[in-house]
Amino acid sequence: MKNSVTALLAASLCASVWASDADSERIARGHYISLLGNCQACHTAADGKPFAGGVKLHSPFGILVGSNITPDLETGLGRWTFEDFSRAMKEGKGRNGHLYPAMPYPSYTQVTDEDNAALWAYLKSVEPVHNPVQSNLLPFPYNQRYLLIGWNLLNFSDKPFRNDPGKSPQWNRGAYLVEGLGHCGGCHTPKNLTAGDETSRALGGFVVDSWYATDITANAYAGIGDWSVADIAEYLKTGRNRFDTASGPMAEVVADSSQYWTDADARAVAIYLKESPGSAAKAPPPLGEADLRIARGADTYALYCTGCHGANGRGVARLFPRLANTALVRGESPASLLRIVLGGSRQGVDTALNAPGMPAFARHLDDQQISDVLTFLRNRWGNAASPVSATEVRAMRQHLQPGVK
Amino acid sequence: MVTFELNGKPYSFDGDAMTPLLWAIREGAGLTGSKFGCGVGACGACTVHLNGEAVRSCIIAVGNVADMKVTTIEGLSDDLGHPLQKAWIAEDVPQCGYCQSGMIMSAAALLSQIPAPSDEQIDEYMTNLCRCATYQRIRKAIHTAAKN
Amino acid sequence: MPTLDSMDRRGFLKTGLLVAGCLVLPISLRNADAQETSDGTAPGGMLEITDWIRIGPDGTTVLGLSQAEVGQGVWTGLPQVLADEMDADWNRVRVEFVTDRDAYRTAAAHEKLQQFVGGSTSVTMFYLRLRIAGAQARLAFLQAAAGRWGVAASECHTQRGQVLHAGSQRSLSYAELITEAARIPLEPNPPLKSNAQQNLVNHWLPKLDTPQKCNGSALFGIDVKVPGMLYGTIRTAPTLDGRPLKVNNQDTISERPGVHAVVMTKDVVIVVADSFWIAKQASEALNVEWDLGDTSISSAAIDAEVQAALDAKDSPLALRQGDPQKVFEKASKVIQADYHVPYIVHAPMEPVNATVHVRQGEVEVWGPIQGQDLVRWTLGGMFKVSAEKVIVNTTFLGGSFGRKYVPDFVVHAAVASAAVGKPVKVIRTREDDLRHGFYRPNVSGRLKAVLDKDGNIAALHARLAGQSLYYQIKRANFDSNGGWDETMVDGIYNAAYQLPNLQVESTNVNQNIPVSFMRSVGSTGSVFMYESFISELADTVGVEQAEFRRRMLQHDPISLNVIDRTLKRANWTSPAADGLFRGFAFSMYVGRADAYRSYAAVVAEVRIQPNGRFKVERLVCGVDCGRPINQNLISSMVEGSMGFALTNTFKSKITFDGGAVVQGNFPDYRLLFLREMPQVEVEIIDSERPPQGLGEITMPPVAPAVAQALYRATKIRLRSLPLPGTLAEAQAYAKAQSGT
Repeated sequence: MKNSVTALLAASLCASVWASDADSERIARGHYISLLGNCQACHTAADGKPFAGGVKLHSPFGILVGSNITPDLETGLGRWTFEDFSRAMKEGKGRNGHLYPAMPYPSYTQVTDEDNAALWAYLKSVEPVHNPVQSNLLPFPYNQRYLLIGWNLLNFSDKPFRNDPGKSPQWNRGAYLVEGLGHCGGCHTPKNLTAGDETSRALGGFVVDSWYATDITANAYAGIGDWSVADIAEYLKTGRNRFDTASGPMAEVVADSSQYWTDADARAVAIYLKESPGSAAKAPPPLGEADLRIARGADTYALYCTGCHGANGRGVARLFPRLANTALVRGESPASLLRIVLGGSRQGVDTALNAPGMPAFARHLDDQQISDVLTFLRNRWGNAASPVSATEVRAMRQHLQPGVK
Repeated sequence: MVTFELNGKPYSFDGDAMTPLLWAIREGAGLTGSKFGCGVGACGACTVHLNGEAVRSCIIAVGNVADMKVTTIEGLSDDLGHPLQKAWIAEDVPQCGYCQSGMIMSAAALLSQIPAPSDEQIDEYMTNLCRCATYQRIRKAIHTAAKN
Repeated sequence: MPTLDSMDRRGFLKTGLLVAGCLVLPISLRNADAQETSDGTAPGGMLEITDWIRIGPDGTTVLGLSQAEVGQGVWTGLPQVLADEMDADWNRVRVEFVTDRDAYRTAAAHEKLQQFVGGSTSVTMFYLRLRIAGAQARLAFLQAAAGRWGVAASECHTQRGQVLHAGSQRSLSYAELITEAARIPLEPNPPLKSNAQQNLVNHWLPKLDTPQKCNGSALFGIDVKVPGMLYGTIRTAPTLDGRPLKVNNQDTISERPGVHAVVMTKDVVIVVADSFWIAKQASEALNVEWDLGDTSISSAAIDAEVQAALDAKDSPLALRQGDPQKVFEKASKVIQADYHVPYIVHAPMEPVNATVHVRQGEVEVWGPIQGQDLVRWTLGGMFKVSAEKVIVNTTFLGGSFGRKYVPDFVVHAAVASAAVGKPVKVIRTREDDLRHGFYRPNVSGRLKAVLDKDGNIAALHARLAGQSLYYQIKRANFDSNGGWDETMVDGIYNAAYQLPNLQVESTNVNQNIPVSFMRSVGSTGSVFMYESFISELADTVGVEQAEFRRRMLQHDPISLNVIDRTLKRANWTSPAADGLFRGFAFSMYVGRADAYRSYAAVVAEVRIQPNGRFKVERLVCGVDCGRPINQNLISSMVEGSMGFALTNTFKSKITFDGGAVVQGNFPDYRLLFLREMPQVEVEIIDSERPPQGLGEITMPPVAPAVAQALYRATKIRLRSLPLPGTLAEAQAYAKAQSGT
């Protein structure tokens, strides 16, 4: 996996044979920065060429499409200058108007000039691809870019990153990555009514595209408080640790981005997260034995889940996630749990056919059974969290299989 | 080829990596103590230990356990020496006996985590199915084993 | 020589189990005659005496067992009888399954003479037979020793595998005597021990098969491996009555790596491969055209037909005592209730399987076989060889409850073997086991009664309707009875209760559904109805449950004793703890063709949990199954039967839709969890009657006792099995019943 960094480097070198040594080094750095920022998640389509755009992003307001950021003259950034690029990254302004914050400029604003320069050098070095992309597919009135002026007033401050001298260099590096290039808050921070960050609840968890991006603060109940620095780093690098296995969009983040981070950067992120204040999330009183859902859920669990996750939820480390006493099942939103139970899940970065995975239970369990078993999990073995209703199950089931009976 | 540790010794299975671990054990390695009851992980007759945790081997692809440690009923002890086996004999737990390998493996995992479980803990943990309903003696035997 | 005492069971396991070097099942014994050497010795230098005992020069004592071990404990109980009578050294005996002699065959219930296990008849059929054999052997040893010592046999006695002459303080072991003893003609009517002289029977002894069931070494049918063996599984139709017409991709699948054959039979398609998994994957990939057969089979239709039978004017008469019609006509008040019991299925934990090798002129079978001769006849007929040429090796059965008597699964393995010319082990999946089983049929009942002024039953009319088991599998009996099925009304038409006027009717509501015997057969349905109704009648007149029954059992001291002992054990007359509700039921079980009579009474204690679920906290079961052979076996069996019966009571239900069985695997055909198992107390009632059947006889009173306890708890009459599991479900049931 890390070898592909070298491979890509070699490929980009071929594309820019006239580059000098200093340039090559900057391009290589820029390539790494693109991995840190996970540019390709939005700018490289599944069946498309690198950075040629075309990725559909489902925002609460409608669809946006990641633009073509190859150096193509007509359809890409071929006519852009570094200043244009810098302004996009720092202020959210493109050559044709405001950018929607789906391009996470509120985070990227923190990227240093030096890093932007390297990134720009890299982007200029990739193969130009003629691929016209219409980014703005939002319905009226959201497609009126000038509205973003107001949005920016509410939600954006273009403050560059500043080191905190009272913290370690690793913490600062971690802060730079999490708040900046990593734009973790893009998914993990709850949003206000205008879909801007609820900065008071930074990294406290949010539902994106009906996946729950968990609380990743140092809160032990809901976040990564029980995880060590090594656990977090392992998760970023491999998609799994003794607590959890990445699934859905985070599995893609690991596959496309964080698995390529250096160990030092992964650790820096971990240190930053661990040393930050935890969110205010706390456990409700657990549902007790008087709740019939718990008893029914226990039966469903025994028949369908025990085989891998264990009779008391311990799982098997790095193979079958632990469900006992873990934030994984306690999230404010059960969206990810619903997605995984209904639709199954594959290992984060392991795409081999026989890679561990969880089967889809949509056919085997009805709405009440899934409601019962998730309510059970969320209130057993040291867990306490809100119940999951059959209505919520039905909504997710229909979201995944529109028209299902 | 999938290689893992089976009852303390390296074992390589050269069939399809998607073969359930149970069949790799029963037919590949010839260890028929772990049983087939349902094939969907519901009954527990196929219970083995994977890195010390009780799992149901009929629903785990053998390819998933590469480089891990698998222990079957045959590997639980030499000569019926495990406290649970002694207790199972003292209480004469089995009737038809078919579920008992899996039952003992589940109980062994339980005792490794909770050395002296209460009735409630046994009730919660032991969900292997026994059609003959030897449950009363199972519970008694677990208590007996826990004392020793 | 190591003894059981000195080395404990672990050593027994090592020395007592495996025939050295044999890949085949250790417990099969082929026809010993075929293996005798010219000087008449059996394999390994062992000599036979009677059809049941082989002794080796080193003292190894092998006791033959003719009854398949299905979990009922015959592996210990029957050899125990034999060892007792022959005064074997119980610590040195080994058990081996024996077959293919008339000594091992019985003609139960007017059926053809055959070796089989069923109907809880093993003990009844073999108690005397084994005692005679044991006594014959003992006499022969006595005579042999007396002969050698030149003393009278009457001066000698036997003890723990030895003959002793007290006068001269000499002793000889059976092993030392076997050569002579084996030649002594057996005494046809040997004297048997008195009950007081028995030193093994009527004792709590450990089970002999336990150790090997605790380390995975016990061999079940599914574990068989013979040289050159292949594996197979079946692909079944989506419907019960479906048949394969054509396999469209037969060639493609046959050519898959590891697949040896794809064979279409009249009911299934069999895939033979190098492993079960390859066979299963290939089976699922088959593209089969099916004739779906009768797609009208549905629970809705069946229930409507049964209802019509209950409502019909007439129904075949099973029994009439007195003149019930007259009493009903004159009655001012008739109490009536309808009850419903669904189809259920065996679902033994070991799915059916068999290994068969079809060879030139003979066929060999290995598997969990409940009916050895039925297999011989079936395969003999199929392959045109005599029954003696069908060698049947019987393993442990991972549960059966009647299922493994039907040899369909053996036929599949035989067809597979014939197709490839090698031994093939065909294993059935759980889905196919549930969806293509042989079901315990449904039954519904309409019970009516008139009570006299003293609150006793003046007349009782029971009309039962459901699919008749005997109509399908014992038509001669059905017809000779006059067109009714005795299993459907079992426990009603032959109950212990004495009633002045009783009419029992049984209507066959036939279905195109394969049915067979399942543990307790019809009585789990009929006795649920009968005992529930009797409980309701008692409540109607405000008479205590046991007292109401006693009045009908005044002639029957055994029944009265069982009831009294059970109630005493359950502290019935003391008030129940707060929130605990109790119910009581009783039944006498008559073995097929009156082979035996066993009696059971059950007290059920239930509580409604805070979450509304019903929890059976305790079951007290009193049982009179004649003279106990081994209290350990009885206790174990009764405990297990309580759990099995609770599964029937709360969970088991097979339904049909569009010609197919709905349930597919354990998640939809649920079994009791350990946490649902109540505390069970077993009250074994001593008896001078010879040992009677046990395996099935304690189940029938469980459901009605529980239903009665739930009535006390909820004030709702629950008349359908499976019973609802929560208060909310019971209330919904009550609402539906009242039509609101």
